[in-house]
Amino acid sequence: MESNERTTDLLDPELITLLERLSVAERELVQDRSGHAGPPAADSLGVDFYEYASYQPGIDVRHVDWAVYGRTGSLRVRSYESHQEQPICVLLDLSASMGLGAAEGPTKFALAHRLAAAIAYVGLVTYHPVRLIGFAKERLEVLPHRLGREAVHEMLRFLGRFQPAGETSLATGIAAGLEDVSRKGGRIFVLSDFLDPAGLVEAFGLLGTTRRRVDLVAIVAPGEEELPTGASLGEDPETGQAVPLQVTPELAADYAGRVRGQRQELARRAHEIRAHLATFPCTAELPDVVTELLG
Amino acid sequence: MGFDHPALLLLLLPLLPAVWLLHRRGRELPRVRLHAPFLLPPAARRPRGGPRDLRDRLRLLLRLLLTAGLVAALAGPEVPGPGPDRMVAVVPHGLATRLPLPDGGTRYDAALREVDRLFARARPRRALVLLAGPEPAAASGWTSPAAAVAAAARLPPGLGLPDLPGALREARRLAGPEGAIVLADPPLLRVPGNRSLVELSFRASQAEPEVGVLGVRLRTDQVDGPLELELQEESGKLPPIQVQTPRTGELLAAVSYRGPGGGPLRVGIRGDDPFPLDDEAWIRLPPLGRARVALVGEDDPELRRALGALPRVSLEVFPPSPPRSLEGVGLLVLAGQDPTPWLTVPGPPVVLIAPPAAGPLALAAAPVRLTVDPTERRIGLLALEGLLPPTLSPLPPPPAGGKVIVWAGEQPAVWSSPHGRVRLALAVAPGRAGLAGSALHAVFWDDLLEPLLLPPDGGCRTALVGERTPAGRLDRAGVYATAAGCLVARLPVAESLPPPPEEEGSALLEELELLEEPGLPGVSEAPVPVPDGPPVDTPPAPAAASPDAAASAPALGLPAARRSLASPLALLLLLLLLGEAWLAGRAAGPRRAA
Repeated sequence: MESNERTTDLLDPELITLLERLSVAERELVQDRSGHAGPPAADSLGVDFYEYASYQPGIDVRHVDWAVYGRTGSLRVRSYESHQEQPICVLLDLSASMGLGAAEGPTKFALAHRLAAAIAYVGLVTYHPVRLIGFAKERLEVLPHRLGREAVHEMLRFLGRFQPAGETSLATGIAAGLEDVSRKGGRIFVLSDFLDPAGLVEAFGLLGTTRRRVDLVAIVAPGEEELPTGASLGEDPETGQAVPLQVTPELAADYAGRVRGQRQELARRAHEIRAHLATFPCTAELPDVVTELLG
Repeated sequence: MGFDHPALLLLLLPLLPAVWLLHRRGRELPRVRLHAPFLLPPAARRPRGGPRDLRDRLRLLLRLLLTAGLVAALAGPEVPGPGPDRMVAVVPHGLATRLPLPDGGTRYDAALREVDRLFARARPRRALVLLAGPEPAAASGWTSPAAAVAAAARLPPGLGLPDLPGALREARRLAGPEGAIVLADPPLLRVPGNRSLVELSFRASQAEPEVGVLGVRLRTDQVDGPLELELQEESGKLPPIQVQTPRTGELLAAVSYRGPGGGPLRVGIRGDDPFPLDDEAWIRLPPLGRARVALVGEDDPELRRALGALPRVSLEVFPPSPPRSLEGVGLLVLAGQDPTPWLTVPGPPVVLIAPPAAGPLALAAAPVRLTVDPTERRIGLLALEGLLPPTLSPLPPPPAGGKVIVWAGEQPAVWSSPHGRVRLALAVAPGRAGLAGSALHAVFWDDLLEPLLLPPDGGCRTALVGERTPAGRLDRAGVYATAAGCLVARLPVAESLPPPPEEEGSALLEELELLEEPGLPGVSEAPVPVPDGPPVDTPPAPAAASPDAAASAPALGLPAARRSLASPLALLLLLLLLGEAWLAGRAAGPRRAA
């Protein structure tokens, strides 16, 4: 019963209406996917025209649609949407730090949880194999590939039992996400706050080895870089340990700088592995987030 | 160390944990949930066990000590202090102390247990138990408290009516200015349905010498209906008397007596009584009628007028010589005469009045107050202490072996002879006393004659409830009184009274009540009701008793055998409070800086 309620919470009818219009398949220029020169043959399976995209430096000029250029004067290249199966892997950070959020507001996990359900829903209804992984340190929850609309309820039940707990270990989740080598291509969504005490080196080292598209969705809490001054008892939500603190304004500024530095490092490493990084506050509206990610 | 109220220490059980919990709540820091604790600057972590924790523990310790100190202060801490050098414990030793208690002992035993407890608490260096019987007597000399109690315990319960005021005066003298006096009042006993004869008294009527008034003090405890008294003297029974008594209370009934007097009178309560021992009492009545008083000496109109005006006196004036037969004479007054030819033993009491400024008795210049040696038990019968005669002259030194027992100011007024007789010298100079002295003159004589006119084998004893005093068996040894100009009188002494039989003659008495002066408030045939209320459990306050008893009352409080720790404890608590405030200030310092 609780699981049903949780599944209802994850996806409401309005959101489903929105998700029905979205696609999770990777859209890229056909020359990047097939290696063919020129547009694919009209009967090519699994590839369909999707949109015109602006010409970017590096694209073979042979893919420029000169007719359009003749009509409009702008360089456009055709973009095709692949209809081939693109396995979707959604990695959801289950660590306890995800349970934090805005003061008296939604938690980071609440947004990531529903976002994972939304991505998985879109993948399933567009007939892409969807694999769900919830991870934390010494904790791995895996829903193997599922396909089709009929797997939505199973997916929601699987997600519905998640609660944030344990320590963060990005490497654990990413390694599990990359284990499936039977399928190639597709997208990997990593939903996390990326606050890993072990750092980002190992996790991004793993991510750098995959050829799939990687979408890093960083969920941040407003004011998480702030530290109150004075005497306090700092609680580590992941270990449950309490640390007596005596924070001066200088130390508070130092802490804020370290948190910002962590975010900057995340962006730098994402750029290095050519991953797509999107950062959302946990107070963001889910439709906006979904639209930005999949729209 | 002890506590006045040790039960209050139980407050520590809930208070100390409560203080500890409140302290924990007060020291709880605001909790902050860290998103990235691994990014905390190391300097932000406050090491455990630092000065702040030390101050916190100290504050907790101070608060616990403060709480414990306050509770201890409430409990009244005491430490054994130096006890008094001397302590006298006055124990009632009247007949009522034979009253058995439910635990099997007597009230006397209970009183001694109380004395033992008082001594243990007061810790005197030397102690003495003074038994307040009809005459106060020490159970032992000055000794250790335990030995004093043991000496008293070896004695049986007392007899007769305790003279508590006299015992307190004696205790005051014995204890001295630095000593302490404690009074061990044995527990009272209420017997529902009990009727008691508390006190008998008798006084001859001033208007009619042949009539006397018998005062009967009765006490009832939940008794319905009137009481019937039966009176019996040696010549036979008198008509019974019915007295309407309150259901619970005390009543003084005045009964007219017409008879010869001069013998014992038994008074009893008729009817059933759960405690019949106090239903009987005896009193020796003085002879009624006029007494023959012989006045020998030069004509003294004032003296003759004073003596002749006394209703009970039949005055006869004799020439100085030759000595006459004194057969049938109740009192001989020698005014300015040499008493030697007139003093015969046995003979009537004699009052000697010395000639002014002549003879061995010099007149005193001003009235003086008599002080009685409290160790002299026999003189207590005279009730002379505090008597203020118009003028007194000193007595010659006592003979070898004699002892002065009454002092008139700085001069001896009464001495006892080595032969067991006591000579009382009352140097009366009526002409020198002025108007007040003249007014007192007749009253003085009237008061003096009452004991002097008693027959040698008789006694005017009041309130000897329960004592059986058969007529004719009193010792002839007596107290002799001499007034100015040589007056000698012989009075009966109490120690010659035979002990009452064990099986009869007892009374339920309340010792503290005896602080009141015995005697009848007036002559009335009507009963005098006592207001309702608990008559036994509420003894009269000593302050309302006689002046002597009132003067003794402050000394009756338990001496400070234990030194209270209230002041040092209060100082300690103050220091603890200051220390706690200082620590609180230190703890608040860094927050202010932040």
